[in-house]
Amino acid sequence: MDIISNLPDELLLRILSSLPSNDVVATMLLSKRWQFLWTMVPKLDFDDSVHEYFGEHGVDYRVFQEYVDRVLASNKAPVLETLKFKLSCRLSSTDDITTWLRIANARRVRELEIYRSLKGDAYSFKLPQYLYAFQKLVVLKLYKLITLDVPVEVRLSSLKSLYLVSVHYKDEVSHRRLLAGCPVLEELVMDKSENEP
Amino acid sequence: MSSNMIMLKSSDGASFEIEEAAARKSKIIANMIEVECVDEDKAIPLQNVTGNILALVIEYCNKHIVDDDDDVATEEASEEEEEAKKKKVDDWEAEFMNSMSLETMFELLLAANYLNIKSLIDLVCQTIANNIKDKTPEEVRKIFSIENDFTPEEEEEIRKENAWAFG
Repeated sequence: MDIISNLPDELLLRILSSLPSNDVVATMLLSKRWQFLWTMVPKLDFDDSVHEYFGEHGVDYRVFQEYVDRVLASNKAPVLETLKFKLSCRLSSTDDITTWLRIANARRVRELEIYRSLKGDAYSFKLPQYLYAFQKLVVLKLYKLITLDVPVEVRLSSLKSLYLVSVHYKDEVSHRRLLAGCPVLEELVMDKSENEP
Repeated sequence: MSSNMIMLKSSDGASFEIEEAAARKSKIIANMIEVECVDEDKAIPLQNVTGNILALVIEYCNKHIVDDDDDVATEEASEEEEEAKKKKVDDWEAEFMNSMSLETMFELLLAANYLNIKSLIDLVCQTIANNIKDKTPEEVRKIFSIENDFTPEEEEEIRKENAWAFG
């Protein structure tokens, strides 16, 4: 066998973890040795602009949606270390992100990043309430057009690092409730929200 | 800084003298030193590492010796100095990785794994990954001489079943 395919799984997974998910998934075609390795990589990132899924008709976006569904469902890494979304398409909906975050929660994700870059409040993601009880989450980074409607009880008991950059808050208490529910927080990065006076 | 020197011996019999602080980048060697398996006049035998690869490992460890002396080094340095230092290390690492063939890179990865030097494993993995990034499966197979052991029918089947991935 060639020299790279001969490496132990552990090292191949470390190499694959240094790559964007697109490149990782494509390795299933290399040879039999590689056919299922991609499902064990503990790091996933999804970017809906990569494939130019900006079709007016939404057909292409559905391809992206299926892609995320399949990759998430196929992942068998013992621990899902990192999950990143960069969603800039108008067609990505709160429903989509709600579904994907439910899987992320079941997989006990450690680091979650959501970047929503778009103009127009109508496209804002309203994050699901159960996100505020992700007990295994250590890092949470939220950027741009995301609305935080924080419930009374927040239990982010492992969260050490929180980024809230240009996000929106449903009301004033949301921000306070969120911080009150992070007992072991070490790092907080935030700026002034765009929709505040 | 301690200037204790220790000896390492490669699988093909070459001996290398290295500062203890540099050798401690390897968790395996650090452990050996902790439990006093290291005889002062005797070289540590490393059965899985050849001389030419060990020379590269030692070059890397010597270059990164300062990182571990955090208490002494970083406290006095300003942020700018830190940044300049980091850039210098990055440049050195890029040059270091650039100087070797893919084959050597894999041997270095196995050696780093055997010796348990995390930062070197990460550096080599990232460099190998850069050779896969943005390439088609055909291109990746060619770069690493991976033999395609799928029959055309099997490959077609995988493409069909996973059309979502290759849309």
